[in-house]
Amino acid sequence: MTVLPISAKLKQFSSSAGQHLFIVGGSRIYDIDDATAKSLERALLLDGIEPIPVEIAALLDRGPAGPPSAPAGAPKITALSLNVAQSCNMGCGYCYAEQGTFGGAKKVMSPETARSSVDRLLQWAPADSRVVVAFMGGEPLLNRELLHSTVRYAAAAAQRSGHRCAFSLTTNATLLTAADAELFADYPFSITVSIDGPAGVQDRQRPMLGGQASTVRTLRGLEHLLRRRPRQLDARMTVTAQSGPLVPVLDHVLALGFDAAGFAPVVAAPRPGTEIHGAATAQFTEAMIDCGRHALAKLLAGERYGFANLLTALHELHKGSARAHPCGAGAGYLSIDADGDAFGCHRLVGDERFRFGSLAEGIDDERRFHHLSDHAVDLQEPCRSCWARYLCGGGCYHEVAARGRTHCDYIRGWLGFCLEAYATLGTARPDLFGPLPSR
Amino acid sequence: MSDSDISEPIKLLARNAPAIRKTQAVYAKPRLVVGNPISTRLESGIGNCFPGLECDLRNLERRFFPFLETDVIDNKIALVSVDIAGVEAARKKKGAIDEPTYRAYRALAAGGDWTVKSIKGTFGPLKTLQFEPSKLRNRSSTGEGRLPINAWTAVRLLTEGTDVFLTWHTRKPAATVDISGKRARYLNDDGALADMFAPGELTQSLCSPWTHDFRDCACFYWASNHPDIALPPLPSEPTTDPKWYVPVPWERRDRTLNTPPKPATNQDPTRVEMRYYEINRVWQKLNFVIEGREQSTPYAQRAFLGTPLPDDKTLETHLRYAAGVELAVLHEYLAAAYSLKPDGVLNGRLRDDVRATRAELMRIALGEMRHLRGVNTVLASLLGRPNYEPALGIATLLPGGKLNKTVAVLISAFTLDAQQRFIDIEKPSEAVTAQTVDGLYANILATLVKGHPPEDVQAVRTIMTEGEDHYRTFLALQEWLKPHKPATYLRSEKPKPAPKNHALNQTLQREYVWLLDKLYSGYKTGLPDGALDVNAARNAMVSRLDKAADDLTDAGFLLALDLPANDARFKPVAPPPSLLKP
Repeated sequence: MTVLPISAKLKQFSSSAGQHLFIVGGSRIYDIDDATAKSLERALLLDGIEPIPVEIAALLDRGPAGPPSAPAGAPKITALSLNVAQSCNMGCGYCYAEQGTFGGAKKVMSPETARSSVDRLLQWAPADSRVVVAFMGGEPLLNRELLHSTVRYAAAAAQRSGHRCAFSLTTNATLLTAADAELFADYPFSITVSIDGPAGVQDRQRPMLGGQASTVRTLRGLEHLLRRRPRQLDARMTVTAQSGPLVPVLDHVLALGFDAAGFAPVVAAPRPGTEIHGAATAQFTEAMIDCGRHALAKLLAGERYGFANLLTALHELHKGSARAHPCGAGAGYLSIDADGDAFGCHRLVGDERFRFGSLAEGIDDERRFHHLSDHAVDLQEPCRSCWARYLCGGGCYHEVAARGRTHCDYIRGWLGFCLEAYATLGTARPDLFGPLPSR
Repeated sequence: MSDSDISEPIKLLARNAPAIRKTQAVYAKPRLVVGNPISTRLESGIGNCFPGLECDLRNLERRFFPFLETDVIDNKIALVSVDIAGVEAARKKKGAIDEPTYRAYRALAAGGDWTVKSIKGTFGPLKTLQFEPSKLRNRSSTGEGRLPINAWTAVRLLTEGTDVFLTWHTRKPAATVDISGKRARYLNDDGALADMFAPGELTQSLCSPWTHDFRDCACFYWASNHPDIALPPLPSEPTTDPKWYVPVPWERRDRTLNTPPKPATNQDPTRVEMRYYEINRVWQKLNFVIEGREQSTPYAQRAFLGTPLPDDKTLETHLRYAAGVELAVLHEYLAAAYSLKPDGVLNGRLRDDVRATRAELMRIALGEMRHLRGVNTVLASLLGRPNYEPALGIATLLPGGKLNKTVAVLISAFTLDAQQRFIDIEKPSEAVTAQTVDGLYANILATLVKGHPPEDVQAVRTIMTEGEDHYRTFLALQEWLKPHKPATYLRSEKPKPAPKNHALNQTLQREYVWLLDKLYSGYKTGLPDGALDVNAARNAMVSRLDKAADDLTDAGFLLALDLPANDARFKPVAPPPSLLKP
């Protein structure tokens, strides 16, 4: 194994609170003085020629070199998503699921499959643990009856088995009724509404299946949610190569009454014209950082501002998350398609490379284990020499499988900004963060 | 190594959770942080007149005369300030200050370079004298009628509360003032410093920089709360390498962190220590020492994890058992101390080691007596007088260091086995479930901190802290005696208890019962009235009981103290059942 460059072990950065050091192993953040920052800069520039300060070398030696080592087997499954309707009433140009069909025929999940999924989840999950049942599609509300009955069934079954059961739903909200909102408020739901911005953006990027504007329908659905709020109400805003500046979009969507709103770039779409690559990646990075600075200013002024991408990153930095994988797909999380087949996640439905069994044949834990060991970020290129690898985890399986790692500069640029924001806010607004281990 | 080899220290401050955890919590074990109990007083500090570490006692003399602040240097007493507001207030109280004295204070306060021309007063053993400080010539002098060696000694010798007559003189403007007053009290009625001392006044003339003194004064000279040797900062990955567990010179020049520094020796430590210039330049690199170890990273107080006892009744049973344990180990330690050969029959290093061992064993035994009283004080506070009945029963079984395990009290000579046994008994509990004496107190403390009076909490904290001292001392005793064969320092390796009817034994037991009687009545009465009895018991331990014990062990017997049978006051106590459960 080759020796890693210093730039793979640490990152030096500055913020309004001074100079800082991010140690990759263990995701540790330290404040340093100007002189040390300078000598680190030189050491990073003249790797191997210019030594790093001994105190920092000692930190590197002493700390964990990587993320927590991989478990000896596949972890227990605690979250399932049910693709209850593999069809959609909208026709978004960038949809990875191709209107929920994943390139196949339109399908709906049967009540037996849904119940069996819930039963299995409660069998698989450790006793007393918290389990999550997520409803995906397509548009899950196209299978409303099943959704409602499955929620009631899961809640009752979890109560019997001693699990705490939470729910989540991603929806375009166009079909959402008052009765739905009632259900989402009565059970511990986290609702994510896909909405891309003001009417101009939304109607262009997210037309109805027949091409009609969707804004009015979406807002009508949102109205029900705002009247009867679920536990968590977020917006998911997709960004395409055609999207313009993001700050007005973010302001607009947050003003609609969401707890938080986050952007997701289109990286791998069946219609590549919408994908963000090359020069568009740099523009997107810049637009994201603009939003970040906009949010930072609001937070520094003492306001609430639910820019989800930033808040999530800050939270992870504060805890010091160091991950070997990008997400829980194939680990604690699986997605069940309408036929009862189990895939790594809702985006990987139909991809045989990420199929881990089915409700009928059972889950192939060995395959899950190999999936996790094969995808450990330290084995990936160019990840293994990237300073951001334990924050990023190697990138979305779906996107990487389809397009390779094309967004690394965005990830690093964005996380670089988040580090800076964390240091700034950690000093100015420590109240935003949970308690640190006692000093 | 040259000066330039010591680089400037860098700032490295942990910011997020893993950085903080990484740098400090790796070694966290649930254990009490030793600190100053609220009963800490002035005399608990390390103060002397040369000029000390925590306070310079010479500064007390700055306030020897009511309402005056002075500088006492060599053969000069100079006026610094007059507390004229205090004078005015005292004047309002009838008879506190007469008119001539008041006018004298006013004159002194009006300005001038006032020095004492003449002083008259009662100078302790030198008795009543009158002299001019400027004439003192720094010659040693003892005995009645002789002059003190300098002005500070003179003022120091003034007896508190006696009359002092001063003649002050100033050249600009030329004037003379006579004033008289009582030599001031430095302490108030609570034994704390009198209000007249300003914060920082006693420390204002400390060794500066004191770190130079550390270098100059021989290794091992310094008090344990100001160690010039300490354990080095641990690497953040836990290590059991013994090299990290030996003391190193605190002011060592080699500041590397990743390899264990060279251990401290008592041979010319200055060679490995920084020089003055280096100390001044990189003093920031000198680490804080907490719990005997240098801390190079932010320090986290370790969580204290005793399990609170469910109710007062259970607390009482635990306290009674704790008292019984103190008494039982007292018996064991005394037997060990008296099993050592007397100084007269030993020579050289052996004699020194045995003498020191005996002294330490006796110190610890006296400490156990103090613990016994501490537990009884807490018990009295819990039950309230007159309900309180002193806990003076001996424990039948001691905590055995493991869950569900107890060990019998074992009276023996200070054999190798006993040395190890004492270490085990006093060992701090590293896990709360551990069945050690410390673990027993940990649960008591966890109960007391929930709403019991702070004095009780501190009493138990003190016991636990001293327990750790005992543990360390026993480790030292083991080390001191290691080079010697037990036969060379023990009167007998397997002495037997004296027959019940042996005259020497009867004397011993009679003295012991007398002592216990005193303890019983002292505890029962409580402080302050009970202090007489408690002190009498303590004195007996080093006089009457000491003689009886010496005589008995001299005759070749084992010192086996018995508590009077059929006396309800001294009924043996068994471990509380809950202590034996997980």
